[in-house]
Amino acid sequence: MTDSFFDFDAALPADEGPPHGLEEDEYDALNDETFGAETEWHEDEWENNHEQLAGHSGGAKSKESFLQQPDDDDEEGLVSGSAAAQLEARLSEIILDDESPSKHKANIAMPPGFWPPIPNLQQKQAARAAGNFPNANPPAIFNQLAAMGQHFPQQQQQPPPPRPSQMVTVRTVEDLERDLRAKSQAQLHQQQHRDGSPLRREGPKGPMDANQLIEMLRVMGTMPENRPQGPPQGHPNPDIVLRLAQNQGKPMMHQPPPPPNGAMMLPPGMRHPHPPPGMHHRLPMNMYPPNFPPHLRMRGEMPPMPWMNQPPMPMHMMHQPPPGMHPHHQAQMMSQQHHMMMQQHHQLQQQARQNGSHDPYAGLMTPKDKQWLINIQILQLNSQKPYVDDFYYTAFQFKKQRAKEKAGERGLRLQRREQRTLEPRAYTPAHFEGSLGKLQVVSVTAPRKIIDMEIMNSDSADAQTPVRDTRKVKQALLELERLYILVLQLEDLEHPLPEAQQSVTECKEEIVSKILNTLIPAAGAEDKFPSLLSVRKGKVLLLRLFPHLLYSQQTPLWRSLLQNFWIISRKDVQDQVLFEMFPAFREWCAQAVLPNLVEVISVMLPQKSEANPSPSNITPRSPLPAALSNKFGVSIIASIINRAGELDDNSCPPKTHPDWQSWSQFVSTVAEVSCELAIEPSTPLDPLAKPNSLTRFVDNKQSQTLQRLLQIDNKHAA
Amino acid sequence: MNDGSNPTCPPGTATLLEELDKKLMVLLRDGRTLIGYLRSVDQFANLVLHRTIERIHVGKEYGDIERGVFIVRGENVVLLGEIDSEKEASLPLKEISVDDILAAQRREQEAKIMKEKIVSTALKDRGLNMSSELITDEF
Repeated sequence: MTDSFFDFDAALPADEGPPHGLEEDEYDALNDETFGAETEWHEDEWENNHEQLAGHSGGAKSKESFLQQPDDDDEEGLVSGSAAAQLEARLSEIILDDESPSKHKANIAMPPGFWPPIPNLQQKQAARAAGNFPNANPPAIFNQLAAMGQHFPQQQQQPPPPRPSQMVTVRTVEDLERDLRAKSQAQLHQQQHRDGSPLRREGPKGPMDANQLIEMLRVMGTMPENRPQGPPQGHPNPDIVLRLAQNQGKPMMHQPPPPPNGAMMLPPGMRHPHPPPGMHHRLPMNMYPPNFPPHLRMRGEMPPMPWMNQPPMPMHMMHQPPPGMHPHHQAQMMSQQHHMMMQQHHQLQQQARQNGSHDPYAGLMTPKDKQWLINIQILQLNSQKPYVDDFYYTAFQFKKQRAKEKAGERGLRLQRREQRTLEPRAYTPAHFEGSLGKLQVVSVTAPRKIIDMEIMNSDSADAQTPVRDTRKVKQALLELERLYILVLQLEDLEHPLPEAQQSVTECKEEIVSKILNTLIPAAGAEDKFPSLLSVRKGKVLLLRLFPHLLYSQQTPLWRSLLQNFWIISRKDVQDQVLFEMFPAFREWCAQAVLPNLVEVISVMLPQKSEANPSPSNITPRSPLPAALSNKFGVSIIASIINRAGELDDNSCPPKTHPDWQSWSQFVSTVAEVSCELAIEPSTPLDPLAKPNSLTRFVDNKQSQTLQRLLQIDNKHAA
Repeated sequence: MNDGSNPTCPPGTATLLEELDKKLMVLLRDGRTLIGYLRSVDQFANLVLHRTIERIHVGKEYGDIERGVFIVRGENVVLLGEIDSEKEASLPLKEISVDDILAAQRREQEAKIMKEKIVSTALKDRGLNMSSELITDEF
């Protein structure tokens, strides 16, 4: 048991097992160690440690000011002067002494918040470990390090971190990069020739290899942070170097693979590879915070030090802290980084001489970010048919161009927006060999297919409820949407822009027939006309449609309008759109021949018994009373009568035509109804011109009623 | 402004880039009003608001709650607009403390719920069903 494999006694204590009375499951052998008398759990133990390390009790206050959000009054300094001075002082105090490990002070003065307190015990261990380096084989390690060192920039001669008064100076990115390159060149030459010269201004002249080793580690530790995809690249090197250090004396069997891009060439988009200035604040390698995951410790993972980020770093650098960053650590780090950046912005603001109030957070979105966003928007605007996709912009440009041409200037042709098109790639879904099931590979250009949902309307003959009404209205609106698209296509056919005309694929007749199929019900089909025309949108649709229709196509529409006059006029009270249809009707009427008129008025004649039973819920009453009480209706009737009178005068068709009988029936009906009307009928828009036309059909009394009704102007009596 | 570094958007397009670093009022879909400095946007109109306060209005009074940094998902924004600093300084409304305004808001909510209940019962008595699809308010 006390074998010689380990230097110390590795014998395990005898396992006692659960005491009498307790079962195996209930008994916790290590309980006492954790919670019991064995531990000395003092609440303030860590606090005391921390205070010692912090050096003074005023640490709490400066920490507050350190992390404070800037107010509007506090524009001058995000880091208050005193805190900055403290930070500065402490940074310079941190001296790593590898030569004499005993000198390691337990109270390394660090600004509060950088590290969690490090118990003394681990520090001493770290010191011991660091002290082991001088025993390593210097030349071999040195050579290896030198070889690797060429890949990493060395910042040995960097000036110390700026004093508080100099915090204001800004080094632009270009300056830093220039310094960087200059130094790396200098270092390369120097390294090959010198031997054991100090790597940094301050600090002891320790053995070269140890310093370089630590240098390497720290630099490598920071590198992963600099690259967004850095961590995998950064890992191999510290790993190998650490192994190197631990295999004291064993020659290195293999070259560590150089970082893929070399440290100088970072992936495009990174600002600079600038490692932090001020190399003298280094810690021995093994001095990790106590709560650092041990496995990462072994891999030589070094958390990037917060103070190393003083050079300007763009926001997106912070996206990928090296893996294994302790969350506690990370929060502190982020706040430090944030602070540095605010400082930076503040300095930039001062430099840019902003007039007005200082906004230290302004300019978070760089012009590059803005350009990126604009590019995305431009990409989205790309289109092969701008008239269809981007109608308003195209129409507006067209109008402007026409105005310009009218003004006389000969401007450019219709300009499109700048197009940045990707070549259309034929998409073939990725096929996986030998896989069970169907795997999906989605990308931006070929996203996942979503289930195509359709709304199914269930027709049920419920009682009329308000809910039903709104649903009907919605259905009507949907139908109108469909019709509107067709009407728009009709209009596009006559648009001056050639693009507009090309965008319509069907010919006029097809479109018109499609529209009419809906508006004029087929035999036995449900008549949607009244519901469509109850809505304002439907009436406007009809208005826009009339100019495109042939005469013969209009007739059934007028007929339908009159037939459903009850409903339509009732719903029109708010909208008042019917009047706008009157000119169209007048036009139609002016060309009407008697059969047309008869067709239209037939709906107003008293229904015969064999009226076809319509499935719709239109009231079977004659629309005449409704028409007469409505101004529009009266106008229609007046126009019809006018026209009939004209036709009669011209005797076409001849008086013996059977249609005239229907006509006379109509006129007498009108007279009757107008007598029976309870309310005063409205006056027509176009007063009757020729009273004589009526005398043929009606007796005198009725004629007089009609005349009064229709406001016949007696002066014009022929 | 001869700022050559700031790229311009194509003509006829709307962009939020002109609103950067301005003090904006943002109305969210759940009815909250945020006032803050717009720091960053993206193609979905997600917003990063800085030094944000949430302002609650009840009647003629209002109260501000400090919120810090907000990241708002673009789809939740109803509208946003620039705040005029002069008008902001001379508001006709009275500012009260946060607790007071929250209490006032609670009272207002309760009153609204009571009123809705009364209205719906009255409608039910008359045989009308107030259906939820007719009400599209989200707050």
